Amino acid sequence: MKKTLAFLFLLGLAAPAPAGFSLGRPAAVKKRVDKLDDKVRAAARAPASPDRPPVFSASAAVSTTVAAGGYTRVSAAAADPDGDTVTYVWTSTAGVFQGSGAAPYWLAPAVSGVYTLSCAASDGSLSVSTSVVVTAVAPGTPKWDFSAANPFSLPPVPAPDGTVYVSDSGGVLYALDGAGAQKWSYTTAAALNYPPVVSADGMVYAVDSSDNVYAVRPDGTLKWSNTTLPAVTVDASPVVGPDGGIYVYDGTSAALYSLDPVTGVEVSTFTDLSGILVAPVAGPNGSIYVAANDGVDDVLYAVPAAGLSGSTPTIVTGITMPPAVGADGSVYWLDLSNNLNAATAAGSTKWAAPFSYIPSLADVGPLIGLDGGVYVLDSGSGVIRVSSETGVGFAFSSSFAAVTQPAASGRDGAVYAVSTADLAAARSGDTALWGPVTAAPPATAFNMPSAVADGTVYATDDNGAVYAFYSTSLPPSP
Amino acid sequence: MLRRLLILLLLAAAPSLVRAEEAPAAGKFFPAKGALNLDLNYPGAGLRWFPASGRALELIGQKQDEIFTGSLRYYYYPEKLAGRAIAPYLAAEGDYLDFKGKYSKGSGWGGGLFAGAEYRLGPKFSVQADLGALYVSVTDKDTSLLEDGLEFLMTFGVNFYFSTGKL
Repeated sequence: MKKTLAFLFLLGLAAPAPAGFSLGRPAAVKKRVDKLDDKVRAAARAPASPDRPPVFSASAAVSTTVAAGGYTRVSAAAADPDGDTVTYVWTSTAGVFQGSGAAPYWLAPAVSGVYTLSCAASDGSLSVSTSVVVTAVAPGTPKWDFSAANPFSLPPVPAPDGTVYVSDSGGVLYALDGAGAQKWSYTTAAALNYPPVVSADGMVYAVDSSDNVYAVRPDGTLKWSNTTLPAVTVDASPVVGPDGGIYVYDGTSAALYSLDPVTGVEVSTFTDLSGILVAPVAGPNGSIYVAANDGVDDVLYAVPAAGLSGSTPTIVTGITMPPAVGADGSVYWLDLSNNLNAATAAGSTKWAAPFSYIPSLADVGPLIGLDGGVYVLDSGSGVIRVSSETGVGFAFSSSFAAVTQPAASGRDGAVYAVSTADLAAARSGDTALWGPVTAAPPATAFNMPSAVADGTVYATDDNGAVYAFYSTSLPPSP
Repeated sequence: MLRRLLILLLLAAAPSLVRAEEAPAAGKFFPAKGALNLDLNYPGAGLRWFPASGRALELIGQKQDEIFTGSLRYYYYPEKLAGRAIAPYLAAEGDYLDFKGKYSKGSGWGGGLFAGAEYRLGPKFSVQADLGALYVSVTDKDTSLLEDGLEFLMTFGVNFYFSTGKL
């Protein structure tokens, strides 16, 4: 009887399921699937999020003040909240943009003024704008000045990081930042006779008039000094070799000494070559260029890190001054016949004929300008720019007079020189760009200027002041 | 339809019940080690094996309305509660779920606890039913939307023993 009742109970279970219970697993799962269907359908019906425009997070100019005819780099950063790709379009009422995207260069017009540079950031359908204000001042406008304790006779040495190094006649080496503020100073045992040299790692190397060699770290602390070079008369700035060695030139004994860059200890005398003719110079490819007589000819060796055996020799008959080396490795040198010669990096003659002129009394060789031209001084014509490609010379005889110090040039071909003790700037066609600027009394004259790619011109005067001026330039080539 | 078929199967088994009622007592109905049966349940089937007396593992597959469930179920039959024809049990299971709804499609998992009884209809036949709670979690493949919760569930089936095992 109990079994019969139990069977009927089981049969009852097989009848319609109790309320709230599902019969079989699929039925239970289906209840949840139905609810999931509702969610999916609701999500599908939800309106799409409205497109949102990009949002700027930054906009700036590297320099908010430039010379009219100078340039600066502007930049903007925007993000799209929807994740769309953002494109940038820069516009201005004057001037020209070079490059595109978030950070183009802006070449200021030749007219001074305040210019608004606008940047539109677009996600393809919506855009937002921001702007940067840049003031263009007249070329030659002072940027900053700095006063040192003692007069200057050496030119400023701008470093790639914007630091400017100057050394006064009291043996104080100053490091100035991009705004002209003193970062540090280091006093050497005696005044420097030659400008300091900055290596790629920011180390500053200098030689004082007592022939002591110094290595000063970028923070102004002394790394080492060498006061033990035997009876050496250093006749040029130190040169950083491709092997990291520090080379100093003794013109009296026509010898070249190599110092360990870590300790400053003399490693060796450069005995591979005897009778070094002129001070070595550093080339753009890391080689150092050393001229010596091989018994027959005067030969210039481009010595790479591997040593003299890997050098490319160039015949430089009659070389009288340190040569200049172009960015492509071409070599330019003066000879005993007052000719400016040129050879390619492979050692072959570059020009159809040397450029002949009458050198001035300035005891310097040719210099390569930022515009790629070769600059020399002529006692009659003053500053001469010689085309590095053709060897044809052009004298800036209208713009400068009584020039006795080397000139500097900007990337746009502007030339800066001390003309009758004043600082003056000329356009590439020998028309006045700005100046002449007279040194502020009691100073009586400027020293050789230096120019950097952004158009800033630095100069010292003979009373202990350093000046920075705004000037024209061109953005780097794309 | 399947439910009606199961009811018919139960009614068809009624004569066996009568015989069992009339048969002399042969001890408790307590599934023995090694027993193996085919479980026709609603709406699917399973294969149950007893690795030990009173303990069984069952693989179950069910399908309905484009919903498939695959389950592994563990049975425990308390010997003290077993009668001559009825064997109560507890069961726990884990489930793999595959589904296609009206708007959703995807897979999921489940887990549940059940209590029920198996009733012997003869030497090779029995019926069983249980009630329990099943936690269900399903996820839509395209949207990753998830739905989960507890469902109450009833199962029943008819078992055919290929082997009754040895006690």
